[in-house]
Amino acid sequence: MFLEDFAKLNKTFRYTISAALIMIITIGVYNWVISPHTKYLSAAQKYEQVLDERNRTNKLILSNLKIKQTRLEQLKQRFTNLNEIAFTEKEAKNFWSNLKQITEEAGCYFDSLTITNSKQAAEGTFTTKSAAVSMSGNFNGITQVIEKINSNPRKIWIDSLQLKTVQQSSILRCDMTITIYKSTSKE
Amino acid sequence: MISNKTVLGIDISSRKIDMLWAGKEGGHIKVLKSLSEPLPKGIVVNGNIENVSKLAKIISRLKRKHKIQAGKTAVTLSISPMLTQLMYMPKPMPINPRKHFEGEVKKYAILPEDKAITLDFCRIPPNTRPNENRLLIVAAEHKKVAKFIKTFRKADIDPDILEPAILGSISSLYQPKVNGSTQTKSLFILLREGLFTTVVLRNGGIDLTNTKKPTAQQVSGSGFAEYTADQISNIQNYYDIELMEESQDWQITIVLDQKVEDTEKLKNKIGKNISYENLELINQYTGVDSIPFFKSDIPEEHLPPVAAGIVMKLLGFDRSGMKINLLPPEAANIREAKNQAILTATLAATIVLFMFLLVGMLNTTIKNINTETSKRNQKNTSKLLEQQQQLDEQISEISGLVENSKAIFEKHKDINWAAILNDIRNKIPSDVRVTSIRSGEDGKTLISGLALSNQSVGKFVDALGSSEHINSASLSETQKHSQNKKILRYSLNCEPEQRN
Repeated sequence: MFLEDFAKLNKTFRYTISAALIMIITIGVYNWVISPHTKYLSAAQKYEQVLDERNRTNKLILSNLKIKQTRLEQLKQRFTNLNEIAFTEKEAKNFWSNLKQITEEAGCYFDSLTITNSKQAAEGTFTTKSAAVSMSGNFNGITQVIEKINSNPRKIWIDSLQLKTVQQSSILRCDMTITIYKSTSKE
Repeated sequence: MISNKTVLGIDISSRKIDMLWAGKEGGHIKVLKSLSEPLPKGIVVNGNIENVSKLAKIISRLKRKHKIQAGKTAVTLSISPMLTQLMYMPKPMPINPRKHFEGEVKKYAILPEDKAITLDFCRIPPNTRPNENRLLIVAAEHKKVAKFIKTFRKADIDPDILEPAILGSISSLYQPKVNGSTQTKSLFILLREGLFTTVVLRNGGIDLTNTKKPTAQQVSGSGFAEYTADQISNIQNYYDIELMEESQDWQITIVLDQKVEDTEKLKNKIGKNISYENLELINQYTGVDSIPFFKSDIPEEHLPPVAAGIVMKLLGFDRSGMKINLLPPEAANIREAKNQAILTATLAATIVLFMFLLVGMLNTTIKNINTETSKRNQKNTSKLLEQQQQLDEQISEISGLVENSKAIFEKHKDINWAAILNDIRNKIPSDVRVTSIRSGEDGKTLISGLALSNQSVGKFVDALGSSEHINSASLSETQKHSQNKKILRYSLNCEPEQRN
C-alpha cells in the first residue's frame, strides 16, 4: 500500500522524500545520540587538560614542599645548634652548685654567689640567669677558675670582671658577673 | 563456474506451472532446477488468473520448497484475448507511440474497446519499406495483466519481464532454425489456452503472424489435424498464390499444450502436403529432451520449452530481436519505488549503524579518559597547598626563633677573660705589677698597677696592644707613688676583643 502510494509520486518528489528522510534520521540521531556524546567527550578532554595543568601545579608545589622541608630541617638544625649554647634547668642548677667546688679546686677561696637576675630573653627561646660571684685567690688560680668556667660545654658569659689585690699581697679578690642562658624549649 | 546472477523463468497455463531456474556457465545455460506442477482447475482459466491468492501460494511454496533464489524473473502470459500483430508505422515515429498504438489496437475486434490496454512493441527485421518501421505489437487487457503482477507480488516475486508465451516458445524452439538458413520459411504454430497462433519466420525475422480462436470441435480429436492442415495449407497458398513465391521447403513446428496419444498418426494426418521430416510436433506438457545452449546434470531431463525461452532472454542467449515486455509502466514505477525505498532504508540503517559505531568509539574514548583522569585525580592540590602553608608557618616560626636567638647571642658581649688574663701574665714586664683589673658592662677595662719606670709601662701597653685578645690598649695616666718616689702608679685603658 505504502509502495503503491510512494510509486504514484514523481521521481524528483520521491528522491526529495528519501533525501529528507535520511537527513531527518541523520540530524535526529546526531542530535539525540552523537551530539551529547561529543559534548561529553569534549568536556572530558577539557577536564583532562585541567587535570594536566593541575598536575603540573602539584608537581611545582611538591618540588617547593621538598625545598621548604629541607629549609625547615636546616632551620631546626640551626636552632638545635643554638640550643646547644643554653643550659637546661638541671644543668643550670648543677653549674651554680659546682661553682664553689671549681673555685676551691683551683686553689681559690669562694666568697659568695648571688643570683641577681632572671629574665626572658625572647618569647619562646631562652631565659637569662645572671649571678654575682666573689672569690679570692692568686692570679693563676683565678685564671684557672675562669678557664674552667669557659670549658663548660654550655656557653657562659662573664659580663664584668673586677680583680683587686688584697692588702698589697699576691692575693686578689675577684668579683664577676656571670650570665647563662636557659632554654625554654628544652624544658 | 556458474555466474552469480541466476534467473528464473515461470510459465503459467491453465493446466500447469513450469519453473526453470538457471544460470550462465561459460557459453551455456546451466539448469539449476526445472520443475513442473499441475494446477488445480479454476485457478487459471483460458490463461487468465481467476484465483490470485491460491496461485500466489502455489508459486511461493514451490519457490520455498526448492530454495530458488534468482536475481531476475521472467513470466510468460497466455492471457485471452491477447493481440499479437505486425504493423507498419510511417517514419518518424509519433512523439508518444504507446498512446498512438493504444488507439490503433482497439480497432481490432479481439480487444475490448472500453477497457484499458497494456501493450508493448518492438521493431523487427526484415524491413522492405524504407519509409516505414516494421513493428511487432502485443496488447492485452490491462486488468488481466495487473492480476499477474499482483499474484507474483503476493508470492514475493518482482517480475522483470512479462512476455507472451508464443515469443518464449520461438526463442527456445525456433531460434536455431532462424539463424540457420535464411531461405527456409519456418511456420511456427502454438496451440495454447484455446488460441491457435501461427507465426511465419523468414530471413531471420517474423514475416507473418496470426491468432485465431478455433471452436472446441476444431481443436479436439481428429478435428485438430484437419484444422491444422487447413491452416498450414492456407498459409502456404498465400505465399504461393498471393505473393507468387516459388514453393520452398517449409519447416513446420507445432507446439501443443495437450496430450497426444499417437504422434505419428497425428503427423500423418496433418502432413498431407509436407514431408514428415520437416514437421515437428512438440508437446509442452511433457517438455523437450534438449534445447540448444542448455546443459543439465540430470540425465534425460525434459525442459519446459516456454520457460526455457524466457530464461534465454534473461541470460542474453536470445537473438530473435523480439523484445516485448508487457510489464506496465506503473509496475516498473513501483519496482523503482521499492528499490528506492530499500536503498533509503539501507542508507538510513547504515547511517544509524555508523552513528552507533561512532557512539561506541566515543564511549570507549570517554571511558579511557575517565579512567586516566581518575588515576590522575588522586593528588589533591588543596591538601598540598595546606601542607605547604603548614610548612611555611613552621619555617616562619623556627626562622623567627633562630633569628631571635642569634640576635640575643650576637648582642651579648663575650670576652675571653681567661685568654686576656693569660696574656697579661705572660706579657707583663718584670718591673710592672697589676693591682686591679676592672671591666665595665661595655667591656672597656681599666688596668691599674705599679711600675718602676715609664718605659716598662710603655712596654706593657705595647705588649697588651699586640695581644690577639685585646683590640687596643692605651695608657690612661702615670703618677709618682705618694710614699715611694721611685715607684710609678699607672692606669691603662683596654678594649678587649669580643668572641662570636
